[in-house]
Amino acid sequence: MDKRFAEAVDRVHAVPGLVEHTRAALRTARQARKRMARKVMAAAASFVLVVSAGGWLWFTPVSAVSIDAAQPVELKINRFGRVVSAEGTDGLLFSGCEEAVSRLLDELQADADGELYITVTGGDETLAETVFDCAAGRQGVYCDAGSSEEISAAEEAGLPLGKYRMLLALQAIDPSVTAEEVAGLSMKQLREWEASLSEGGQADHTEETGAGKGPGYRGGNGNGEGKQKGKG
Amino acid sequence: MRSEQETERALALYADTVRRICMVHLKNEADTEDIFQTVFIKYLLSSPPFRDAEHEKAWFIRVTINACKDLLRSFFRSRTVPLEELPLSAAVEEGDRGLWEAVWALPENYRDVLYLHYYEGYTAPQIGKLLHKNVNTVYTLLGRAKKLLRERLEGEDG
Repeated sequence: MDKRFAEAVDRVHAVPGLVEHTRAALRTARQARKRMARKVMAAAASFVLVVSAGGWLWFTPVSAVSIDAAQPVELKINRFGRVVSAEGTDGLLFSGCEEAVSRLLDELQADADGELYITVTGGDETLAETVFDCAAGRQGVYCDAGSSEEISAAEEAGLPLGKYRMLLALQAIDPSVTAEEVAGLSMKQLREWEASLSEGGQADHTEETGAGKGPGYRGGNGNGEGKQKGKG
Repeated sequence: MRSEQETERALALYADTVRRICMVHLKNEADTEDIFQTVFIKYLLSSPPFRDAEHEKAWFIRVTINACKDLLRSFFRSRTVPLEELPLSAAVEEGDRGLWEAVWALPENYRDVLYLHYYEGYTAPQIGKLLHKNVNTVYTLLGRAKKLLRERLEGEDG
């Protein structure tokens, strides 16, 4: 019985017609799969493009808010008014710009014994007004607005925006002023230095008690503890 | 997706095996062609690497058996045509008709172990692993299958 069964099975073969039909079916399946793979790739590429574009929109800063304090702070703001980068501070990522600036000013003013200078660059007028409104009514806080090209130039010089502007102002008077010299001074000291250079390096700081006038800033301590009135 | 070279090689090696398993389960050519193509398309679209030739052959056997069973279950659920009405497979030689009728009359499980043991030469433990059955169950099925087939064939011959 076993042998009879095995012999009967052995006489069964896949006839050429069956194999040929199967080859044709395999060709069709292969082509269909390739077409599907192309569609899937196109859909995936579109999805990646949309997500990347969305991500790019969200994470690309269009403006910056710099606050020169003992520890300089720089917030980068996206087109939706959200903080996408915060240097010199923690806990403000993705906060709204107005909320972030208010909180920063509350913290920094509490610690600062002098002035705070805020520079807004890039973005539209609405953002600048928002920041200016945050600073309005705060004693010793000064705001200014500029262009996005300055952000890049300031980053290249390794300076916060406020100080970069001071560097340019100082270099307009004395081209030998370097970014390294500016980096080590506070905004108040820089303004005093600018004033002294403008006046020929002999500023009359009758209300001030600080050292470091004009050339004294270079290599000097430049503590500048004067009570200079804010220029806003 | 497997290459054309791979599918050609598989057709050369396993076409007869798949055809024979189809014969054990299915009586007509249309269903056989359907399952035959299904198995090789599954092979085309599969990508697991096989340890060796034995592993690959076991894959073909298992996939074919399962495809035949799935077809038969869906067949009975939706159409319920008496077997007598289906055209008999042209692969059945006249002299073997009686044997195949006896094989087709056996329960499905009996036919698998019969084929795997008496034609492919697998042992009961190997069949147990292939079909995910306990080896004692395989021995039982083999014993009953052989007995039933003998009774039917002797009844036919007698």
